[in-house]
Amino acid sequence: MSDVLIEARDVRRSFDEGRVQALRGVDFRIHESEFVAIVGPSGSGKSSLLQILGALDEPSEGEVFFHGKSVAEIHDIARFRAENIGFVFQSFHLIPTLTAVENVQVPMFEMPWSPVERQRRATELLKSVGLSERMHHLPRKMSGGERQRVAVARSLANEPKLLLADEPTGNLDSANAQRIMELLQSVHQRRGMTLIVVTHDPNVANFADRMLRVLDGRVVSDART
Amino acid sequence: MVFLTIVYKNLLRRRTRSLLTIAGIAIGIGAVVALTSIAWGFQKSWERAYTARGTDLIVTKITSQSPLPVPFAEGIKTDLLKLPRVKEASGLLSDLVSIEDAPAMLIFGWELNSFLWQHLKLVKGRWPTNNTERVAVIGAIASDMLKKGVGSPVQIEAGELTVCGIFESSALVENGAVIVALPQLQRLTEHTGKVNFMNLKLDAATTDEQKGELQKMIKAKFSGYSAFKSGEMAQNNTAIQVAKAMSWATSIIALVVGAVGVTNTVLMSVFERLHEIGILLAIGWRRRRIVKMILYESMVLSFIGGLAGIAIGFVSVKLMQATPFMHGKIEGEISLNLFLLALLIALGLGMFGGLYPAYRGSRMPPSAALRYE
Ligand SMILES: Nc1ncnc2c1ncn2[C@@H]1O[C@H](COP(=O)(O)OP(=O)(O)OP(=O)(O)O)[C@@H](O)[C@H]1O
Ligand SMILES: [Mg+2]
Repeated sequence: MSDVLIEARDVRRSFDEGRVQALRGVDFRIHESEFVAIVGPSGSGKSSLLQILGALDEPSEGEVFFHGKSVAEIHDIARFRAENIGFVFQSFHLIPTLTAVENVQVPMFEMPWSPVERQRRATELLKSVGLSERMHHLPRKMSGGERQRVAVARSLANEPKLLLADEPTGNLDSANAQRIMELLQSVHQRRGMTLIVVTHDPNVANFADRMLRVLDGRVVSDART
Repeated sequence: MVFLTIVYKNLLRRRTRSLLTIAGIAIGIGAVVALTSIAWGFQKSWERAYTARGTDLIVTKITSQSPLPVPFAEGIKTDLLKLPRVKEASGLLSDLVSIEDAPAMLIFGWELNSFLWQHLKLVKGRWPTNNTERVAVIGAIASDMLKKGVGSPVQIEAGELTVCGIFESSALVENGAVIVALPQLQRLTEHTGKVNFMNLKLDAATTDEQKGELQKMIKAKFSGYSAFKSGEMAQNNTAIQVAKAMSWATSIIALVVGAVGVTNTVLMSVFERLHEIGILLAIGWRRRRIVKMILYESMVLSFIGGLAGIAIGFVSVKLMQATPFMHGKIEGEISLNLFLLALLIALGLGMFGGLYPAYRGSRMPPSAALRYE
Protein backbone atom coordinates (compact mmCIF):
# COMPACT_ATOMS: atom_id res chain seq x y z
CA MET A 1 0.00 0.00 0.00
CA SER A 2 1.10 3.58 -0.65
CA ASP A 3 2.18 6.11 2.00
CA VAL A 4 -0.15 7.43 4.65
CA LEU A 5 -1.18 10.96 3.62
CA ILE A 6 -3.21 12.05 6.60
CA GLU A 7 -3.71 10.50 9.99
CA ALA A 8 -5.99 11.45 12.89
CA ARG A 9 -4.92 10.35 16.37
CA ASP A 10 -7.51 10.61 19.11
CA VAL A 11 -8.85 13.87 17.68
CA ARG A 12 -11.32 15.64 19.94
CA ARG A 13 -13.05 18.94 19.44
CA SER A 14 -15.34 20.64 21.92
CA PHE A 15 -17.14 23.96 21.71
CA ASP A 16 -18.55 26.38 24.25
CA GLU A 17 -16.08 25.48 27.01
CA GLY A 18 -16.70 21.76 26.71
CA ARG A 19 -20.50 21.88 26.75
CA VAL A 20 -20.67 20.70 23.13
CA GLN A 21 -18.46 17.76 22.18
CA ALA A 22 -18.43 17.57 18.40
CA LEU A 23 -15.61 15.02 18.15
CA ARG A 24 -14.94 12.54 20.95
CA GLY A 25 -11.76 10.76 19.89
CA VAL A 26 -11.36 10.02 16.21
CA ASP A 27 -8.60 7.75 14.83
CA PHE A 28 -7.92 6.80 11.21
CA ARG A 29 -5.32 6.81 8.46
CA ILE A 30 -5.95 7.78 4.88
CA HIS A 31 -3.42 6.79 2.24
CA GLU A 32 -2.35 8.69 -0.82
CA SER A 33 -4.78 8.40 -3.73
CA GLU A 34 -7.63 7.09 -1.61
CA PHE A 35 -11.21 8.23 -2.17
CA VAL A 36 -13.02 8.25 1.17
CA ALA A 37 -16.61 9.16 1.99
CA ILE A 38 -17.53 10.34 5.47
CA VAL A 39 -21.19 9.72 6.27
CA GLY A 40 -23.34 10.16 9.35
CA PRO A 41 -26.44 11.94 10.64
CA SER A 42 -26.72 15.67 11.01
CA GLY A 43 -24.75 17.02 13.95
CA SER A 44 -22.53 13.94 14.20
CA GLY A 45 -19.36 16.00 13.67
CA LYS A 46 -18.55 15.50 9.98
CA SER A 47 -17.93 19.15 9.13
CA SER A 48 -15.94 19.68 12.31
CA LEU A 49 -13.73 16.77 11.33
CA LEU A 50 -13.26 18.01 7.78
CA GLN A 51 -12.24 21.48 8.94
CA ILE A 52 -9.64 19.99 11.25
CA LEU A 53 -8.31 17.77 8.44
CA GLY A 54 -8.09 20.87 6.23
CA ALA A 55 -6.19 22.83 8.92
CA LEU A 56 -8.97 25.42 9.10
CA ASP A 57 -9.54 24.50 12.71
CA GLU A 58 -7.44 22.92 15.45
CA PRO A 59 -8.38 19.90 17.57
CA SER A 60 -8.97 20.56 21.29
CA GLU A 61 -7.07 17.35 21.95
CA GLY A 62 -5.24 14.79 19.83
CA GLU A 63 -3.20 15.35 16.72
CA VAL A 64 -3.39 15.30 12.94
CA PHE A 65 -0.38 14.21 10.88
CA PHE A 66 0.18 15.12 7.25
CA HIS A 67 2.84 13.04 5.54
CA GLY A 68 3.91 11.95 9.02
CA LYS A 69 4.38 15.49 10.26
CA SER A 70 2.22 16.94 13.02
CA VAL A 71 0.04 19.70 11.56
CA ALA A 72 0.20 21.55 14.90
CA GLU A 73 3.93 21.98 14.37
CA ILE A 74 3.69 23.47 10.90
CA HIS A 75 4.96 27.01 11.12
CA ASP A 76 3.23 28.64 8.14
CA ILE A 77 -0.20 27.06 8.22
CA ALA A 78 -1.65 29.40 5.55
CA ARG A 79 1.00 28.35 3.11
CA PHE A 80 0.52 24.72 4.01
CA ARG A 81 -3.18 25.10 3.24
CA ALA A 82 -2.58 26.98 -0.01
CA GLU A 83 -0.17 24.38 -1.34
CA ASN A 84 -1.70 21.13 -0.09
CA ILE A 85 -5.44 21.42 0.48
CA GLY A 86 -8.33 22.11 -1.87
CA PHE A 87 -11.84 22.80 -0.57
CA VAL A 88 -15.25 22.34 -2.17
CA PHE A 89 -18.29 23.56 -0.23
CA GLN A 90 -21.97 22.76 -0.29
CA SER A 91 -22.98 26.31 -1.30
CA PHE A 92 -20.14 26.78 -3.81
CA HIS A 93 -18.84 29.97 -2.17
CA LEU A 94 -17.61 31.61 -5.34
CA ILE A 95 -16.70 35.31 -5.19
CA PRO A 96 -19.81 36.95 -6.73
CA THR A 97 -17.96 39.86 -8.40
CA LEU A 98 -15.50 37.67 -10.25
CA THR A 99 -16.05 35.69 -13.46
CA ALA A 100 -15.54 31.93 -13.59
CA VAL A 101 -11.99 32.20 -14.89
CA GLU A 102 -11.16 34.85 -12.28
CA ASN A 103 -12.62 32.80 -9.44
CA VAL A 104 -10.40 29.89 -10.37
CA GLN A 105 -7.36 32.19 -10.16
CA VAL A 106 -8.06 33.46 -6.65
CA PRO A 107 -6.06 30.79 -4.78
CA MET A 108 -3.19 31.12 -7.27
CA PHE A 109 -2.10 34.46 -5.82
CA GLU A 110 -0.27 32.51 -3.15
CA MET A 111 1.81 30.73 -5.80
CA PRO A 112 4.84 32.22 -7.59
CA TRP A 113 3.01 32.40 -10.92
CA SER A 114 2.74 35.30 -13.34
CA PRO A 115 -0.67 36.68 -14.37
CA VAL A 116 -0.29 34.99 -17.75
CA GLU A 117 0.52 31.69 -16.08
CA ARG A 118 -2.49 32.06 -13.77
CA GLN A 119 -4.76 32.78 -16.72
CA ARG A 120 -3.43 29.79 -18.65
CA ARG A 121 -3.88 27.39 -15.74
CA ALA A 122 -7.38 28.66 -14.96
CA THR A 123 -8.47 28.33 -18.57
CA GLU A 124 -7.17 24.80 -18.70
CA LEU A 125 -8.90 23.84 -15.44
CA LEU A 126 -12.23 25.22 -16.62
CA LYS A 127 -11.85 23.26 -19.86
CA SER A 128 -11.21 20.11 -17.88
CA VAL A 129 -14.48 20.57 -15.96
CA GLY A 130 -16.35 21.19 -19.22
CA LEU A 131 -16.87 24.94 -18.85
CA SER A 132 -14.91 26.38 -21.80
CA GLU A 133 -18.09 28.19 -22.82
CA ARG A 134 -18.62 29.82 -19.44
CA MET A 135 -15.16 31.36 -18.78
CA HIS A 136 -16.33 34.95 -18.47
CA HIS A 137 -19.67 34.39 -16.80
CA LEU A 138 -20.39 35.68 -13.34
CA PRO A 139 -21.55 33.10 -10.79
CA ARG A 140 -25.09 34.50 -10.70
CA LYS A 141 -25.43 33.83 -14.44
CA MET A 142 -24.61 30.14 -14.00
CA SER A 143 -26.61 27.14 -12.83
CA GLY A 144 -25.86 25.42 -9.53
CA GLY A 145 -24.15 22.55 -11.29
CA GLU A 146 -21.97 24.94 -13.30
CA ARG A 147 -21.07 26.92 -10.20
CA GLN A 148 -20.01 23.78 -8.40
CA ARG A 149 -17.86 22.81 -11.36
CA VAL A 150 -16.16 26.22 -11.17
CA ALA A 151 -15.64 25.55 -7.45
CA VAL A 152 -14.06 22.17 -8.22
CA ALA A 153 -11.76 23.84 -10.76
CA ARG A 154 -10.83 26.44 -8.14
CA SER A 155 -10.10 23.73 -5.54
CA LEU A 156 -7.61 22.24 -8.00
CA ALA A 157 -5.96 25.59 -8.76
CA ASN A 158 -2.77 25.02 -6.77
CA GLU A 159 -2.54 21.30 -7.49
CA PRO A 160 -3.27 20.22 -3.91
CA LYS A 161 -2.45 16.79 -2.55
CA LEU A 162 -5.73 16.52 -0.69
CA LEU A 163 -9.19 17.55 -1.83
CA LEU A 164 -11.87 18.00 0.83
CA ALA A 165 -15.53 18.35 -0.10
CA ASP A 166 -18.31 19.05 2.39
CA GLU A 167 -21.68 17.97 0.93
CA PRO A 168 -20.60 18.99 -2.59
CA THR A 169 -23.90 17.80 -4.02
CA GLY A 170 -26.11 19.06 -1.18
CA ASN A 171 -27.53 21.95 -3.23
CA LEU A 172 -27.81 20.11 -6.54
CA ASP A 173 -30.48 18.01 -8.23
CA SER A 174 -29.68 14.37 -8.82
CA ALA A 175 -28.52 14.80 -12.42
CA ASN A 176 -26.10 17.55 -11.49
CA ALA A 177 -25.05 15.65 -8.36
CA GLN A 178 -24.18 12.70 -10.58
CA ARG A 179 -22.11 14.95 -12.86
CA ILE A 180 -20.16 16.50 -10.01
CA MET A 181 -19.39 13.10 -8.51
CA GLU A 182 -18.21 11.82 -11.90
CA LEU A 183 -16.04 14.88 -12.18
CA LEU A 184 -14.53 14.33 -8.73
CA GLN A 185 -13.98 10.68 -9.49
CA SER A 186 -12.17 11.48 -12.73
CA VAL A 187 -10.00 14.02 -10.92
CA HIS A 188 -9.20 11.33 -8.38
CA GLN A 189 -8.39 8.79 -11.04
CA ARG A 190 -6.53 10.99 -13.49
CA ARG A 191 -4.48 12.96 -11.02
CA GLY A 192 -4.26 10.30 -8.33
CA MET A 193 -5.54 12.87 -5.90
CA THR A 194 -6.62 11.95 -2.39
CA LEU A 195 -10.29 12.79 -1.94
CA ILE A 196 -12.40 13.05 1.20
CA VAL A 197 -16.11 13.75 0.68
CA VAL A 198 -18.64 14.34 3.44
CA THR A 199 -22.16 13.39 2.42
CA HIS A 200 -25.65 12.32 3.49
CA ASP A 201 -26.35 10.75 0.16
CA PRO A 202 -25.72 6.98 -0.24
CA ASN A 203 -25.44 7.43 -4.04
CA VAL A 204 -22.61 9.84 -3.50
CA ALA A 205 -20.93 7.61 -0.94
CA ASN A 206 -20.98 4.78 -3.47
CA PHE A 207 -18.47 6.59 -5.64
CA ALA A 208 -15.86 6.25 -2.89
CA ASP A 209 -13.54 3.28 -2.28
CA ARG A 210 -13.95 3.51 1.45
CA MET A 211 -16.62 4.75 3.83
CA LEU A 212 -16.16 6.13 7.34
CA ARG A 213 -19.38 6.29 9.35
CA VAL A 214 -19.47 8.92 12.08
CA LEU A 215 -21.91 8.94 14.98
CA ASP A 216 -21.87 11.27 17.97
CA GLY A 217 -18.33 12.40 17.31
CA ARG A 218 -16.84 8.93 16.86
CA VAL A 219 -16.01 6.77 13.86
CA VAL A 220 -18.30 3.77 14.24
CA SER A 221 -17.45 1.91 11.07
CA ASP A 222 -14.73 1.94 8.44
CA ALA A 223 -15.30 -0.23 5.39
CA ARG A 224 -14.35 -0.63 1.75
CA THR A 225 -17.32 -0.19 -0.50
CA MET B 1 -6.19 38.56 -13.65
CA VAL B 2 -4.09 40.86 -11.52
CA PHE B 3 -4.62 41.54 -7.83
CA LEU B 4 -6.01 45.01 -8.48
CA THR B 5 -8.87 43.51 -10.49
CA ILE B 6 -10.24 42.00 -7.30
CA VAL B 7 -9.80 45.35 -5.56
CA TYR B 8 -11.61 47.32 -8.29
CA LYS B 9 -14.45 44.85 -8.51
CA ASN B 10 -14.93 45.02 -4.75
CA LEU B 11 -15.21 48.81 -4.95
CA LEU B 12 -17.70 48.55 -7.80
CA ARG B 13 -20.10 46.47 -5.70
CA ARG B 14 -21.40 49.62 -4.08
CA ARG B 15 -20.82 52.26 -6.68
CA THR B 16 -22.75 55.01 -4.95
CA ARG B 17 -21.01 54.48 -1.66
CA SER B 18 -17.59 54.40 -3.31
CA LEU B 19 -18.38 57.52 -5.30
CA LEU B 20 -19.59 59.41 -2.24
CA THR B 21 -16.41 58.48 -0.40
CA ILE B 22 -14.32 59.62 -3.35
CA ALA B 23 -16.27 62.89 -3.40
CA GLY B 24 -15.59 63.37 0.33
CA ILE B 25 -11.87 62.85 -0.14
CA ALA B 26 -11.88 65.06 -3.22
CA ILE B 27 -13.41 67.94 -1.29
CA GLY B 28 -10.92 67.50 1.55
CA ILE B 29 -7.91 67.34 -0.75
CA GLY B 30 -9.37 70.18 -2.84
CA ALA B 31 -9.46 72.38 0.26
CA VAL B 32 -5.89 71.43 1.13
CA VAL B 33 -4.67 72.18 -2.39
CA ALA B 34 -6.48 75.51 -2.66
CA LEU B 35 -5.36 76.77 0.74
CA THR B 36 -1.80 75.58 0.40
CA SER B 37 -1.58 76.97 -3.10
CA ILE B 38 -2.66 80.37 -1.82
CA ALA B 39 -0.32 80.28 1.18
CA TRP B 40 2.64 79.20 -0.96
CA GLY B 41 1.74 81.78 -3.58
CA PHE B 42 1.71 84.43 -0.88
CA GLN B 43 5.19 83.40 0.21
CA LYS B 44 6.44 83.27 -3.39
CA SER B 45 5.15 86.77 -3.95
CA TRP B 46 7.07 88.12 -0.96
CA GLU B 47 10.18 86.26 -2.04
CA ARG B 48 9.86 87.88 -5.43
CA ALA B 49 9.47 91.30 -3.84
CA TYR B 50 12.64 90.88 -1.79
CA THR B 51 14.60 89.47 -4.71
CA ALA B 52 13.39 92.02 -7.24
CA ARG B 53 14.50 94.86 -5.02
CA GLY B 54 18.06 93.70 -5.60
CA THR B 55 18.63 93.19 -1.90
CA ASP B 56 21.28 90.67 -0.86
CA LEU B 57 20.82 90.86 2.88
CA ILE B 58 18.06 92.38 4.97
CA VAL B 59 18.83 93.58 8.50
CA THR B 60 15.92 93.81 10.95
CA LYS B 61 15.03 93.61 14.59
CA ILE B 62 12.54 90.77 14.67
CA THR B 63 10.54 90.24 17.85
CA SER B 64 7.75 87.80 18.42
CA GLN B 65 5.41 90.49 19.75
CA SER B 66 4.72 92.42 16.58
CA PRO B 67 3.83 91.25 13.08
CA LEU B 68 6.19 93.76 11.47
CA PRO B 69 9.77 94.23 12.69
CA VAL B 70 10.09 97.06 15.21
CA PRO B 71 11.53 100.35 13.96
CA PHE B 72 15.09 101.18 14.90
CA ALA B 73 17.32 104.23 14.43
CA GLU B 74 18.54 104.61 10.85
CA GLY B 75 21.95 105.64 12.14
CA ILE B 76 23.02 101.99 12.09
CA LYS B 77 23.51 102.47 8.36
CA THR B 78 26.94 104.07 8.82
CA ASP B 79 28.16 101.09 10.83
CA LEU B 80 26.74 98.58 8.36
CA LEU B 81 28.53 100.29 5.48
CA LYS B 82 31.82 99.71 7.28
CA LEU B 83 31.38 95.92 7.08
CA PRO B 84 33.32 93.99 4.46
CA ARG B 85 31.69 93.57 1.04
CA VAL B 86 28.74 95.89 1.84
CA LYS B 87 28.44 98.29 -1.09
CA GLU B 88 25.14 100.02 -0.42
CA ALA B 89 22.69 100.22 2.47
CA SER B 90 19.21 101.61 2.17
CA GLY B 91 16.68 102.13 4.95
CA LEU B 92 13.07 101.07 4.56
CA LEU B 93 10.09 101.69 6.77
CA SER B 94 6.97 99.60 6.26
CA ASP B 95 3.65 99.59 8.01
CA LEU B 96 0.09 98.39 7.72
CA VAL B 97 -2.23 101.38 7.66
CA SER B 98 -5.88 102.01 7.02
CA ILE B 99 -6.34 104.09 3.91
CA GLU B 100 -9.85 105.48 3.68
CA ASP B 101 -12.13 102.45 3.07
CA ALA B 102 -9.33 99.91 2.80
CA PRO B 103 -8.69 98.44 6.26
CA ALA B 104 -5.10 97.25 6.02
CA MET B 105 -2.84 98.35 3.23
CA LEU B 106 0.90 97.95 3.04
CA ILE B 107 2.78 101.20 2.85
CA PHE B 108 6.53 101.51 2.24
CA GLY B 109 8.84 104.44 2.85
CA TRP B 110 11.94 104.21 0.63
CA GLU B 111 15.01 106.43 0.42
CA LEU B 112 14.64 108.39 -2.80
CA ASN B 113 18.08 107.67 -4.21
CA SER B 114 18.10 103.97 -3.25
CA PHE B 115 18.47 100.97 -5.56
CA LEU B 116 15.04 99.69 -4.43
CA TRP B 117 13.19 101.82 -6.98
CA GLN B 118 15.01 100.32 -9.93
CA HIS B 119 12.77 97.27 -10.35
CA LEU B 120 9.49 99.21 -10.45
CA LYS B 121 7.92 100.22 -13.74
CA LEU B 122 6.15 103.55 -13.88
CA VAL B 123 2.91 103.28 -15.86
CA LYS B 124 1.44 106.75 -15.23
CA GLY B 125 2.54 110.07 -13.74
CA ARG B 126 5.98 110.53 -12.20
CA TRP B 127 8.15 109.41 -9.28
CA PRO B 128 8.44 111.54 -6.10
CA THR B 129 11.32 113.99 -6.63
CA ASN B 130 12.16 115.25 -3.16
CA ASN B 131 11.69 114.36 0.46
CA THR B 132 9.40 117.19 1.39
CA GLU B 133 6.66 117.07 -1.22
CA ARG B 134 3.56 115.28 0.07
CA VAL B 135 3.09 112.74 -2.71
CA ALA B 136 2.79 108.99 -3.05
CA VAL B 137 3.05 106.44 -5.85
CA ILE B 138 0.65 103.53 -5.76
CA GLY B 139 0.74 100.06 -7.26
CA ALA B 140 -1.57 99.19 -10.15
CA ILE B 141 -3.75 96.94 -8.01
CA ALA B 142 -3.84 99.44 -5.15
CA SER B 143 -4.96 102.04 -7.68
CA ASP B 144 -7.82 99.72 -8.69
CA MET B 145 -8.82 98.93 -5.13
CA LEU B 146 -8.68 102.51 -3.87
CA LYS B 147 -10.10 103.88 -7.11
CA LYS B 148 -7.38 106.52 -7.23
CA GLY B 149 -5.60 107.92 -10.24
CA VAL B 150 -2.78 110.39 -10.71
CA GLY B 151 -3.72 113.62 -8.95
CA SER B 152 -6.19 112.04 -6.51
CA PRO B 153 -5.77 112.88 -2.85
CA VAL B 154 -5.29 109.95 -0.42
CA GLN B 155 -5.93 110.05 3.30
CA ILE B 156 -3.22 108.07 5.12
CA GLU B 157 -3.67 107.94 8.87
CA ALA B 158 -3.83 111.60 9.89
CA GLY B 159 -2.15 113.03 6.81
CA GLU B 160 -3.21 113.71 3.26
CA LEU B 161 -1.00 113.05 0.21
CA THR B 162 -1.51 113.34 -3.52
CA VAL B 163 -1.00 110.41 -5.89
CA CYS B 164 1.75 111.43 -8.29
CA GLY B 165 2.29 108.14 -10.10
CA ILE B 166 1.16 104.57 -10.63
CA PHE B 167 3.63 101.72 -10.97
CA GLU B 168 3.78 98.01 -11.65
CA SER B 169 5.96 95.46 -9.92
CA SER B 170 6.70 91.80 -10.58
CA ALA B 171 5.61 91.10 -7.00
CA LEU B 172 1.93 91.02 -6.14
CA VAL B 173 2.49 92.45 -2.65
CA GLU B 174 4.06 95.60 -4.08
CA ASN B 175 1.36 96.01 -6.70
CA GLY B 176 -1.12 96.27 -3.87
CA ALA B 177 0.94 98.73 -1.86
CA VAL B 178 1.59 102.46 -1.52
CA ILE B 179 5.16 103.81 -1.66
CA VAL B 180 6.31 107.18 -0.41
CA ALA B 181 9.63 108.84 0.30
CA LEU B 182 11.05 107.58 3.60
CA PRO B 183 10.78 110.88 5.50
CA GLN B 184 7.10 111.16 4.54
CA LEU B 185 6.24 107.82 6.11
CA GLN B 186 8.40 108.60 9.15
CA ARG B 187 6.34 111.76 9.61
CA LEU B 188 2.95 110.05 9.05
CA THR B 189 3.63 107.19 11.45
CA GLU B 190 5.57 109.30 13.95
CA HIS B 191 8.76 107.27 13.58
CA THR B 192 11.10 110.14 12.85
CA GLY B 193 14.63 108.94 12.09
CA LYS B 194 13.59 105.31 12.18
CA VAL B 195 13.35 102.41 9.76
CA ASN B 196 12.45 98.75 10.28
CA PHE B 197 14.56 97.24 7.51
CA MET B 198 18.05 97.94 6.22
CA ASN B 199 18.55 96.57 2.71
CA LEU B 200 22.16 95.72 1.94
CA LYS B 201 23.65 95.38 -1.48
CA LEU B 202 26.90 93.38 -1.54
CA ASP B 203 29.82 93.04 -3.85
CA ALA B 204 28.67 91.13 -6.94
CA ALA B 205 31.42 88.55 -6.33
CA THR B 206 30.15 87.62 -2.86
CA THR B 207 29.68 83.87 -2.44
CA ASP B 208 26.86 82.26 -0.47
CA GLU B 209 29.39 81.22 2.13
CA GLN B 210 30.62 84.79 2.57
CA LYS B 211 27.02 85.92 2.85
CA GLY B 212 26.55 83.42 5.67
CA GLU B 213 29.65 84.73 7.46
CA LEU B 214 28.39 88.25 7.11
CA GLN B 215 25.02 87.23 8.59
CA LYS B 216 26.80 85.80 11.64
CA MET B 217 28.98 88.87 11.95
CA ILE B 218 25.97 91.21 11.95
CA LYS B 219 24.20 89.12 14.55
CA ALA B 220 27.26 89.20 16.78
CA LYS B 221 28.14 92.86 16.34
CA PHE B 222 24.68 94.44 16.61
CA SER B 223 22.79 92.90 19.49
CA GLY B 224 19.09 92.37 18.81
CA TYR B 225 19.52 92.55 15.03
CA SER B 226 19.44 89.74 12.50
CA ALA B 227 20.36 89.56 8.84
CA PHE B 228 18.43 87.43 6.38
CA LYS B 229 18.79 86.40 2.78
CA SER B 230 15.70 87.30 0.75
CA GLY B 231 14.35 83.72 0.79
CA GLU B 232 14.73 83.43 4.55
CA MET B 233 13.05 86.77 4.98
CA ALA B 234 9.84 85.51 3.42
CA GLN B 235 9.88 82.51 5.73
CA ASN B 236 10.23 84.76 8.74
CA ASN B 237 7.47 87.09 7.66
CA THR B 238 4.74 86.80 10.28
CA ALA B 239 1.92 87.39 7.82
CA ILE B 240 3.16 84.47 5.75
CA GLN B 241 3.49 82.30 8.81
CA VAL B 242 -0.07 83.10 9.85
CA ALA B 243 -1.36 82.36 6.34
CA LYS B 244 0.48 79.05 6.32
CA ALA B 245 -0.71 78.08 9.79
CA MET B 246 -4.30 78.83 8.86
CA SER B 247 -4.05 76.81 5.70
CA TRP B 248 -2.61 73.88 7.63
CA ALA B 249 -5.20 74.05 10.39
CA THR B 250 -8.06 74.04 7.90
CA SER B 251 -6.38 71.30 5.90
CA ILE B 252 -6.03 69.07 8.92
CA ILE B 253 -9.73 69.37 9.71
CA ALA B 254 -10.59 68.55 6.09
CA LEU B 255 -8.26 65.55 6.18
CA VAL B 256 -9.64 64.19 9.44
CA VAL B 257 -13.14 64.35 7.98
CA GLY B 258 -11.86 62.58 4.85
CA ALA B 259 -10.11 59.86 6.86
CA VAL B 260 -13.22 59.19 8.94
CA GLY B 261 -15.22 58.86 5.71
CA VAL B 262 -12.79 56.34 4.23
CA THR B 263 -12.59 54.32 7.42
CA ASN B 264 -16.36 54.19 7.66
CA THR B 265 -16.82 53.07 4.06
CA VAL B 266 -14.14 50.44 4.12
CA LEU B 267 -15.17 49.12 7.54
CA MET B 268 -18.77 48.74 6.35
CA SER B 269 -17.66 46.88 3.27
CA VAL B 270 -15.45 44.60 5.37
CA PHE B 271 -18.31 43.76 7.74
CA GLU B 272 -20.54 42.94 4.77
CA ARG B 273 -17.91 40.54 3.47
CA LEU B 274 -16.75 38.71 6.60
CA HIS B 275 -18.07 35.44 5.25
CA GLU B 276 -16.35 35.94 1.94
CA ILE B 277 -13.10 36.78 3.72
CA GLY B 278 -13.43 33.45 5.56
CA ILE B 279 -13.76 31.71 2.19
CA LEU B 280 -10.64 33.44 0.87
CA LEU B 281 -8.73 32.24 3.94
CA ALA B 282 -10.12 28.73 3.55
CA ILE B 283 -9.05 28.45 -0.08
CA GLY B 284 -5.51 29.43 0.79
CA TRP B 285 -5.11 33.17 1.20
CA ARG B 286 -2.88 34.38 3.98
CA ARG B 287 -4.11 37.02 6.40
CA ARG B 288 -1.48 39.32 4.97
CA ARG B 289 -3.20 39.18 1.59
CA ILE B 290 -6.56 40.05 3.16
CA VAL B 291 -4.87 43.07 4.79
CA LYS B 292 -3.36 44.02 1.45
CA MET B 293 -6.69 43.73 -0.35
CA ILE B 294 -8.49 45.98 2.14
CA LEU B 295 -5.67 48.54 2.27
CA TYR B 296 -5.58 48.67 -1.53
CA GLU B 297 -9.32 49.24 -1.62
CA SER B 298 -9.06 52.23 0.66
CA MET B 299 -5.98 53.54 -1.14
CA VAL B 300 -7.61 53.27 -4.57
CA LEU B 301 -10.55 55.28 -3.22
CA SER B 302 -8.27 57.94 -1.82
CA PHE B 303 -6.04 57.99 -4.90
CA ILE B 304 -8.97 58.71 -7.20
CA GLY B 305 -10.36 61.16 -4.64
CA GLY B 306 -6.94 62.79 -4.45
CA LEU B 307 -6.67 63.30 -8.21
CA ALA B 308 -10.18 64.75 -8.34
CA GLY B 309 -9.37 66.93 -5.32
CA ILE B 310 -6.24 68.33 -6.92
CA ALA B 311 -8.26 69.31 -9.97
CA ILE B 312 -10.93 70.87 -7.76
CA GLY B 313 -8.29 72.75 -5.76
CA PHE B 314 -6.46 74.20 -8.76
CA VAL B 315 -9.68 75.15 -10.53
CA SER B 316 -11.07 76.87 -7.45
CA VAL B 317 -7.88 78.88 -6.98
CA LYS B 318 -8.18 80.05 -10.60
CA LEU B 319 -11.85 80.91 -10.05
CA MET B 320 -11.12 82.80 -6.84
CA GLN B 321 -8.38 84.78 -8.55
CA ALA B 322 -10.86 85.75 -11.23
CA THR B 323 -13.54 87.11 -8.87
CA PRO B 324 -13.45 90.91 -8.48
CA PHE B 325 -13.32 90.61 -4.68
CA MET B 326 -10.18 88.44 -4.66
CA HIS B 327 -8.55 89.80 -7.78
CA GLY B 328 -4.99 90.86 -7.12
CA LYS B 329 -5.10 89.75 -3.50
CA ILE B 330 -4.20 86.13 -4.02
CA GLU B 331 -1.86 84.47 -6.39
CA GLY B 332 -2.12 80.69 -6.19
CA GLU B 333 1.06 78.74 -6.61
CA ILE B 334 0.35 75.76 -8.88
CA SER B 335 3.37 73.52 -8.91
CA LEU B 336 4.39 69.92 -9.40
CA ASN B 337 5.50 69.87 -5.77
CA LEU B 338 2.05 70.77 -4.57
CA PHE B 339 0.53 68.16 -6.90
CA LEU B 340 2.82 65.47 -5.51
CA LEU B 341 2.32 66.59 -1.92
CA ALA B 342 -1.47 66.42 -2.31
CA LEU B 343 -1.27 62.97 -3.89
CA LEU B 344 0.97 61.79 -1.08
CA ILE B 345 -1.43 63.15 1.52
CA ALA B 346 -4.33 61.41 -0.23
CA LEU B 347 -2.52 58.09 -0.29
CA GLY B 348 -1.49 58.50 3.35
CA LEU B 349 -5.09 59.20 4.20
CA GLY B 350 -6.21 56.02 2.42
CA MET B 351 -3.53 54.01 4.15
CA PHE B 352 -4.48 55.41 7.54
CA GLY B 353 -8.22 55.02 6.92
CA GLY B 354 -7.78 51.41 5.80
CA LEU B 355 -5.65 50.22 8.72
CA TYR B 356 -8.37 49.44 11.21
CA PRO B 357 -10.77 47.83 8.70
CA ALA B 358 -7.88 45.73 7.39
CA TYR B 359 -7.03 44.64 10.90
CA ARG B 360 -10.64 43.73 11.63
CA GLY B 361 -11.07 41.87 8.37
CA SER B 362 -7.98 39.77 8.81
CA ARG B 363 -8.92 38.68 12.35
CA MET B 364 -11.73 36.46 11.02
CA PRO B 365 -11.18 32.76 11.78
CA PRO B 366 -11.97 30.87 8.55
CA SER B 367 -13.81 28.05 10.29
CA ALA B 368 -16.19 30.51 11.95
CA ALA B 369 -16.79 32.27 8.64
CA LEU B 370 -17.77 29.01 6.97
CA ARG B 371 -20.35 28.12 9.58
CA TYR B 372 -22.54 31.14 8.76
CA GLU B 373 -23.76 30.00 5.40
N1 LIG C 1 -18.56 26.72 16.49
C1 LIG C 1 -19.40 25.90 17.14
N2 LIG C 1 -19.89 26.28 18.33
C2 LIG C 1 -20.70 25.47 18.99
N3 LIG C 1 -21.11 24.29 18.56
C3 LIG C 1 -20.67 23.85 17.38
C4 LIG C 1 -19.79 24.64 16.60
N4 LIG C 1 -19.50 23.96 15.45
C5 LIG C 1 -20.19 22.79 15.54
N5 LIG C 1 -20.89 22.74 16.67
C6 LIG C 1 -21.69 21.61 17.11
O1 LIG C 1 -20.92 20.43 16.97
C7 LIG C 1 -21.73 19.38 16.52
C8 LIG C 1 -21.17 18.81 15.25
O2 LIG C 1 -21.34 19.79 14.22
P1 LIG C 1 -20.94 19.53 12.72
O3 LIG C 1 -21.21 20.78 11.98
O4 LIG C 1 -19.57 19.01 12.68
O5 LIG C 1 -21.97 18.41 12.30
P2 LIG C 1 -22.24 17.75 10.86
O6 LIG C 1 -22.06 16.31 11.01
O7 LIG C 1 -21.43 18.43 9.84
O8 LIG C 1 -23.78 18.08 10.64
P3 LIG C 1 -24.56 18.40 9.27
O9 LIG C 1 -24.73 17.08 8.61
O10 LIG C 1 -25.86 18.94 9.73
O11 LIG C 1 -23.73 19.36 8.52
C9 LIG C 1 -23.13 19.93 16.40
O12 LIG C 1 -23.85 19.61 17.58
C10 LIG C 1 -22.91 21.40 16.28
O13 LIG C 1 -24.01 22.10 16.82
MG1 LIG D 1 -21.82 19.63 8.10
